[in-house]
Amino acid sequence: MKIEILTLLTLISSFTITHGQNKKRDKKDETKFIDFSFTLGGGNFKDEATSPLKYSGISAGSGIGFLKINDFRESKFDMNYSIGSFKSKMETKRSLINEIEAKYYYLINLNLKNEKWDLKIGGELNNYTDIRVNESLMNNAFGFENFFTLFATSRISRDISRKTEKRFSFLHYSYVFPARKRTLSYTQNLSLYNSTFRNDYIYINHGFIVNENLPFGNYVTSHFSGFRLASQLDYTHYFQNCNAIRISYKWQAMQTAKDPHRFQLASHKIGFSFLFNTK
Amino acid sequence: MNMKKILGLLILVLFFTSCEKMFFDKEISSKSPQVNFDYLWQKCYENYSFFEYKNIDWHEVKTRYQSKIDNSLTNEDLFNILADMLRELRDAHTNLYSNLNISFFPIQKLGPDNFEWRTITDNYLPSNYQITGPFRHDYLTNQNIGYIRYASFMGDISEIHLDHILKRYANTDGIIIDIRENGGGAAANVFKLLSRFIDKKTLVYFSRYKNGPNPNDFSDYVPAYIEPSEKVKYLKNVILLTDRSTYSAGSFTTLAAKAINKITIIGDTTGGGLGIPNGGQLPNGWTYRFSVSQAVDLNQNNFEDGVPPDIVSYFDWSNLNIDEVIERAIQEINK
Repeated sequence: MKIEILTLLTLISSFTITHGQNKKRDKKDETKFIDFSFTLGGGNFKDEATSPLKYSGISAGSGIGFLKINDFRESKFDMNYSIGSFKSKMETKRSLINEIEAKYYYLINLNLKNEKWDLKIGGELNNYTDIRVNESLMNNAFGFENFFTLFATSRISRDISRKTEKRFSFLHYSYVFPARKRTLSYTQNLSLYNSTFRNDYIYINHGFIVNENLPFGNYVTSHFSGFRLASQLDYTHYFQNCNAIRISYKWQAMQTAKDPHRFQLASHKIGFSFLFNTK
Repeated sequence: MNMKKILGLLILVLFFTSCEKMFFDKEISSKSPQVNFDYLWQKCYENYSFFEYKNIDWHEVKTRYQSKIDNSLTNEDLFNILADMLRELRDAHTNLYSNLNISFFPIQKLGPDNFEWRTITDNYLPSNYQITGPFRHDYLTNQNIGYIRYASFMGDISEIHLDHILKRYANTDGIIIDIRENGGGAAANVFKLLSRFIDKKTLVYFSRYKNGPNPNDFSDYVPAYIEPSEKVKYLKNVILLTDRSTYSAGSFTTLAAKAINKITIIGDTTGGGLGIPNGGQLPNGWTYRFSVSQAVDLNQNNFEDGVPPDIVSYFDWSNLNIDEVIERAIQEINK
């Protein structure tokens, strides 16, 4: 735990120093977007507190984000919701999973002095909640887990813009693809600090039997516990009116500590976003 | 976008799919009888809360039932063996659920049948008795006593229901609440009901739960208090009727009633069920549950085998025109 605290402090310090240097150049050149997104994907989860089985399924969701970006920094606040239906290999009832995620990231450009490539680093605060319902589990029918994570984030982007228009002929038809700004980015998130909020060993709410009706009476917060990893691949296509669309592949995996019972989840999602330029 | 870039993207996607496989612990999914037997036995060993109280040697049980397990068993055979093993716990909060069958422990057979509703409707209640929510009630014939039948704790008791009933019988000499053959339901209803019979905050029992895999890993005892309701209360004599089929929330009500002066319990010992049932899934997808907590009275007495009444009384089946338990309750109120 001491190593994690030291790493966290080192990262925050170096980030603060670098950010201080860039601050003055920021506001005027900033572009703002509102991002409306839709996702479709699949995933797996396994909750040893209630079952030895892995559940797999598909989910769909939507989100809204507020993005600010310029040559020196990028920040975004995002909220996402998705719902999915998951089933095990055995003859079991389906689990319905609701996922709610709120996150904020802040990245600074390392200025590689390269026309095609840029590299940004920073951090992301991410709060993820899953709410599971599976009636066949009776008193365990309702499951709730929360992960709060500070990620170290790195993003590498390549400019794949079409600088000049291109003509393409097929049979008797010809097409003109105009010049367009396009980028391809890969983001990697590695958890520095992860806390989990989850029901304890016996996975019940004992309070209801002693007339203490606290909904999370037996839940426990565990700091520096569990692990998360996430990555995202984005293709962004900008239009002449400065709006953009983005197609993303998002992957994440998370798990709680093994004690008392491990919860594990991984998801793959394809996202379609519409970025509306507001400045 | 050229082929190199598309290929690069595909490689990344495949890479993370593989990462995911490394990331997950090994799944235990199997239809093997041995795997499922071992899993259920182990989960019971780690989480069942009454081994010591019931003097059950779970290792001995394993040895006996292991000899019946072989991988040629059909699903039905395996179900029956696992169900029989769970019945060794002598606990009606213990069930095995499959698509074929649901196992249970017949708690009512621990004592005589002590309740016949037809006797009550023919001889003790008017033909137009009232139905208020989950309660069936009216004045007992020729008595200044209210009789309230509460057959199940399932669903919610509304405050309006209780206000109406207790206002109606406010001027009686006493009321009888009949929870014989009440198999339980929502624990919140226990406190809602009993809060109408006290005038100060009352400690009624203690409960603790399993918090680790060793047989004696329990939390500290947590006290259960009931606050008096701010709504209509009844502070005169209350008789609670119980029998062997009074179970779970019914038993909790009976246990809590022992701490309330104005309530007298008449009938037979309850069936028990003072542990919260909880469980999970087996590797073959069947689900199981068993008791994972314990409750004791104010003197730390454990009544998992049944909460005894203050006054024992049994129904005499040779005369279906008299309910001896109700007669005893009437006698108690009128004395």
